[in-house]
Amino acid sequence: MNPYTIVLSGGTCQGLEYGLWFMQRTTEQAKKKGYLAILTDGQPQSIIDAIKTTATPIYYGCVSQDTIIPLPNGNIIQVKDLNSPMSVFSAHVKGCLKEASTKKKARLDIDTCTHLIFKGYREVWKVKTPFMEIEATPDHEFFVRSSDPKDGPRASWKPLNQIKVRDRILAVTKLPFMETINPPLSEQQVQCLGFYTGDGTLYEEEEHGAWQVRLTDPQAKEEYSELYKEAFHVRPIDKGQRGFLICNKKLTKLIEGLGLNVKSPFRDIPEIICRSPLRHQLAFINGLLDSDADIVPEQHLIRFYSTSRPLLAKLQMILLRFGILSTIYRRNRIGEPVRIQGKIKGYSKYPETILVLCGAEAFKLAQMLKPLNKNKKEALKRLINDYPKHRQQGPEGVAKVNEHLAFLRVKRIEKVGIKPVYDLVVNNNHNFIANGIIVHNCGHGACCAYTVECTQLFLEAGPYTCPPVDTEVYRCVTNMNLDLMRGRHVHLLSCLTGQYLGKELVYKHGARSFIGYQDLFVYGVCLPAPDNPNVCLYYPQPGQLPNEYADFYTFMDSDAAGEEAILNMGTVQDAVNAIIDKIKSYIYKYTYGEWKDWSYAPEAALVHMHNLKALVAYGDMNWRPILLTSATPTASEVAAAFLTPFSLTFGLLMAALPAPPPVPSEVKP
Amino acid sequence: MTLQKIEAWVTRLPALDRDLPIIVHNGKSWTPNEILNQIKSCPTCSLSQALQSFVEAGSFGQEANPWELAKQRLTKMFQLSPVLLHTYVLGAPKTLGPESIIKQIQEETPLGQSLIQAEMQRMLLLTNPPR
Repeated sequence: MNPYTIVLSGGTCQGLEYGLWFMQRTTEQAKKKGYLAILTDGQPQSIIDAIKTTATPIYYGCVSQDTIIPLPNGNIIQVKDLNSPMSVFSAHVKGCLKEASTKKKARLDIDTCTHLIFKGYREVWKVKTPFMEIEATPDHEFFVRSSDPKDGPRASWKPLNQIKVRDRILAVTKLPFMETINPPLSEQQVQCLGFYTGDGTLYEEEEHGAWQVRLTDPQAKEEYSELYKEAFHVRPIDKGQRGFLICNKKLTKLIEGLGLNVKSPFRDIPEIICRSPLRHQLAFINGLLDSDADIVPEQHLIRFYSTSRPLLAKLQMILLRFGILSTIYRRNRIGEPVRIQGKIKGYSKYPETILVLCGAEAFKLAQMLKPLNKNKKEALKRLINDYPKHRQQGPEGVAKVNEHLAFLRVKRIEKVGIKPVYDLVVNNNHNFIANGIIVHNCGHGACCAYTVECTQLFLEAGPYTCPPVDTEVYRCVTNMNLDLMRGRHVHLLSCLTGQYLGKELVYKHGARSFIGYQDLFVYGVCLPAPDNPNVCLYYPQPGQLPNEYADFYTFMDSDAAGEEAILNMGTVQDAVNAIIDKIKSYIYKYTYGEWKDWSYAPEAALVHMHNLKALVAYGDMNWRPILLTSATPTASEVAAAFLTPFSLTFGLLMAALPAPPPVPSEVKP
Repeated sequence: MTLQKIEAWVTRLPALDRDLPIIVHNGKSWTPNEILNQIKSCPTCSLSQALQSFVEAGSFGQEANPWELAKQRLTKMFQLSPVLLHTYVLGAPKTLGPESIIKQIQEETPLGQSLIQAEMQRMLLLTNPPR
């Protein structure tokens, strides 16, 4: 390693935003002193910029809470309902960044979502393509191929606020599906449930106190009456124009168990259907088609109607499993007139949505469907026969990459307003599929904290699942070039690093000094959200001063005081004292100062006390990691003083002077 | 110490701390607000005098077991004002909710013990305020 080359680190772990602020702040201090330009070998670059180029990019936004995430286990859920860790679909597009074409490199992958974090209420924008749409914060990144010829054919990650209409974003055109469960229901039963989801209600029959399933569609009454008989061995009661009625406890329990015993605006496609084999999912679509859909053969259209947007959003993902693209539109707002064949038939109590398949997509689905309703059967036949053969190639505005992926043209970008948003962390590819669109993961990248010179790894933390106790933490450090720390000062903020790693760095690997924490380091205190006690009511921006809801500032600020002492050519002991003084000043502010009446003030003071107790330092406390001999040092003097600074997320490793010789390997007899 | 001084001491404390036990006397834990009310209601009673003297001396009371008192305070603190603590182990972030923290304190896990010790330090700061 060239001793005059700065070594910048990239940590990509949770809590990163706050850790990065700590590093950014220290970088700025170095910059003020004129050190930075020299340190970066004539290429001024902040540590943060270096992390963005060498490690996984980090500052990404979030998606709105109702975003639909298809999972490899077959389930389709809203992002807010995701449990982590969980497998998700992602796209392998790393190699595409430098490629003119994505054809060879892009592929769909299965990845692990390690964290789901509620990020509070933020402004969201909606990006619409001819098929899918998604709501995300303006800084959320999409994989984009620019429409501007100047940008060339290269695709890259771009934040939403830099995407233009007519740019193309990477999306999924066919979702892989693996059968993961043995279907507990037959195809006929699933089709019955599809029909019920569209047109059925479960209600308590007052006279007999029995629950009844009522299906009100008169058109396919006979066919479905027969199907229910066969599938569930029940005896439907004909109610004329009002459809038919079924009194059956088992069926009632099934409907309740699937969560379909709610009003139609709150209905959803049950998990068991989403995870059943494709033929079952098709049967469910048949049922829905017979109840709540229409077919317009002349215009090559199939339309599904519902007052439940989540239901149609899930249907859209299920259709993607068949390689069929569809679009969801809003049909009616609350109170707007509902028109059927041009006539007002009432006023909508709930916002209505419509899922539309047109042209080639409708043609594809029509070939697969087998409705029971005679009229719809006839309409589908006409749609298939009338559809012009030369148009069977696929929809316009779709630039296929491969069987599963395509670039879709952006039709519109609009501001939506303030919404609750969620942050997802995906391990390997750092992206995931949301509403059928490839979006960058919102949080940090891989589960590692590392220091790199280009790609040289210093230290890599293990998987998130490693038990956060005692020696296990040390064992989690899977890749250790710890001898690189020989002769240097090391400062790590991560919990428990002081307990084993710090000692070993000094006494075994030759680091000259170490500052760290031997217990859990608390880096943030916040009030919980009233509707979800496991997430913060308010997440401050990195570097934001404490307020009455949360404080993530003072914890980083205390350690930054230590870095400042070292940058001011202080000793390691000076750094430790600076940290202690800063922590004590915050304890005072929370106990007798301006923040004492905030509701979490005692806890904030308490955890500062706890951090203070956990702070440890080892090694030579009287040496100065940075020592300049003149007040106005020359470039070479600064370079000689700094040599090889390291930094880590939640920690900063600085250089020793001079760089020590390499450690001789042990000679074995 | 006069009543005014006791009042001033209570007012200087963080709002939540005024309702957390700080002195143990006669087998009962007393919060700053309770101490103040007792002294106000009966300034010459022996109980008030005793409480007053403990406050004056910056003591938790002769019967107090600081460890147990700190445990009691922490449990009540996280019940009255539930908060989330964010901790970070290399590669393993963790958010601790009030229930989990109370459990750790009750079971005296390493973190629980550390918080109890920190609270004992804080109790000293509260009973011996800087001038």
